[in-house]
Amino acid sequence: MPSFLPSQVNTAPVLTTRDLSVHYGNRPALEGISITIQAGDVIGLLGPNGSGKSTLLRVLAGLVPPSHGSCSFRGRQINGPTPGITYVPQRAGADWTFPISAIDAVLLGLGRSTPRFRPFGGGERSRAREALRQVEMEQHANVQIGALSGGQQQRVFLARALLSGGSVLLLDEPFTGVDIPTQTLFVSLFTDLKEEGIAIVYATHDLDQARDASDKVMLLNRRLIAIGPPDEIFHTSKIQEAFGGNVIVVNASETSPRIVAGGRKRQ
Amino acid sequence: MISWLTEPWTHAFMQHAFMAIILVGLICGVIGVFVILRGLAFLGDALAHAIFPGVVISFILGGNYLIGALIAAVIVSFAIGAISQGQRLSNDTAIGVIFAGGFALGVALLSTQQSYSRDLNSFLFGSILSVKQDDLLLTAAVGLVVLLVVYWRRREFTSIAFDRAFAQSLGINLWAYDQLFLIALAMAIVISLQTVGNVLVLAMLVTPAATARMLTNRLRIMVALSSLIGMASGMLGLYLSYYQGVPSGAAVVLVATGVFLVVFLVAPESGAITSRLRRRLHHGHPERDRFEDGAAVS
Repeated sequence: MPSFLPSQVNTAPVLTTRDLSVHYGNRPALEGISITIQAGDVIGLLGPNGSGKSTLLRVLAGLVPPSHGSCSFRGRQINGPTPGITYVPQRAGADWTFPISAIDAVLLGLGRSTPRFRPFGGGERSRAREALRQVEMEQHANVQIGALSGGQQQRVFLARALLSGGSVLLLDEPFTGVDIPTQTLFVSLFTDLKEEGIAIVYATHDLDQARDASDKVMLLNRRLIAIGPPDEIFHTSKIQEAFGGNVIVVNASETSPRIVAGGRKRQ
Repeated sequence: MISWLTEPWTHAFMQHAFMAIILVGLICGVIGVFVILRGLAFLGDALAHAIFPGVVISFILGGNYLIGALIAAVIVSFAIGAISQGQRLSNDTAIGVIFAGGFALGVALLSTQQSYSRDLNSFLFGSILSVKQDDLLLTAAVGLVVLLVVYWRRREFTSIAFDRAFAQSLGINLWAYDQLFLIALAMAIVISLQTVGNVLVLAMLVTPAATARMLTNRLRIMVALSSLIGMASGMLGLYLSYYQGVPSGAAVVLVATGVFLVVFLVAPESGAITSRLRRRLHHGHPERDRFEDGAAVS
């Protein structure tokens, strides 16, 4: 793996989209998105349900083709799943009754570099253990995944992505339904990964958490409402534009305004 | 006892039958694990019925029924995929439509033959005692292909069954692997038709795998147990059929179902009775475990 000099980390664009639109049948899911994501960016993707957060992640992961416009990874057009871009889907999509242990689930992250006719060897297993250690799940390596808590399952998902490697990590709602220790762990892991020059884009519903864990937030409601550092983006008008309805920004203290979004308008 | 066990093996037709059922138990046991883990039991049943016209056409033309069945399987799996592509119909609705339609076509085609009722009977329930050496060789060869395909691509099949979205993001072509799996499944079904028949082949795919799932949380062990249970049920069923005159397909399936029920009740960890007993032994019950003076044992 090439080592990045600190000065290079935040300057190299890894993901670029240009006038990106996605339609499901006649229904538009995303319209005219143009963004640039640099190495080492940690971007929180915010928007109401149906705003296209998952769709954007899936387009960047090469799982959904754009209907219009383009997206590229290190200057190359994304035409499908691309080595170097790792996608962590929503936890709800996996079969948690599946007869597999945490470490075997993590080993699936090796994907195409998996040995074809022999069992996984010591090298692969120790890399998987290392990934589990990073998410503090080493002691649960041999537990059947269904016996793990929601937060632990999400940690296994992240460990599987870490084993996959790559310089872009796309996570679909990694903080949904997980406990506070897991959230804290993920935030500190994001910081570590950022230092390695890995760009992280994650969808979330929690505005406060997005502000705490991200360098930039991106407000999405089919169109790109705003992208930038949380302090610049979290203004009542922009949040209101993204979420609709009444939005209150409560200044609990000078440094950490609390945001309440999505309230209904009174008649 | 020894003679009870060896006596059926003195007949060539029984030797062939035993070998056929062992092969079918092994192959269906292995691929059946992926059928139940992906929740494809209905698809397995549907595929068995929908490839019926292919079998009948090759029978009428005097060709190899395996080839007819495989062509039908490919057409059926494409048709199911095409119908469920749209937003309005779910996959199992598409399977239901194709399954019934295909089976009806098979019955209609077969009815043009003079020996309609006898042929239909052997298609539906198998005719294990008529297995010839050639059939055995074909079963073994096709079965070997199925096992190799499953082994060769086991990690992709596992990844897809566990988490489709992630598998796709790894660059695994879901459509291609689904087709490959369907064709392997169709091959397993086709080589089981002669031994257990069209109607009961589902049991060979689902029951041993379901029994194995009750016994383990590890995929590798599940595959091994499933094929062992499939082979053992097959052999026991054949003995039952030989000595009690029960139709062989039914006997094999009944034994497999019996094994499942026993395991369902008394499996060490997940059994309906054992898990309840375990809870009773390990956790006090405030109302049940009460002394006469009203003090509960905890």
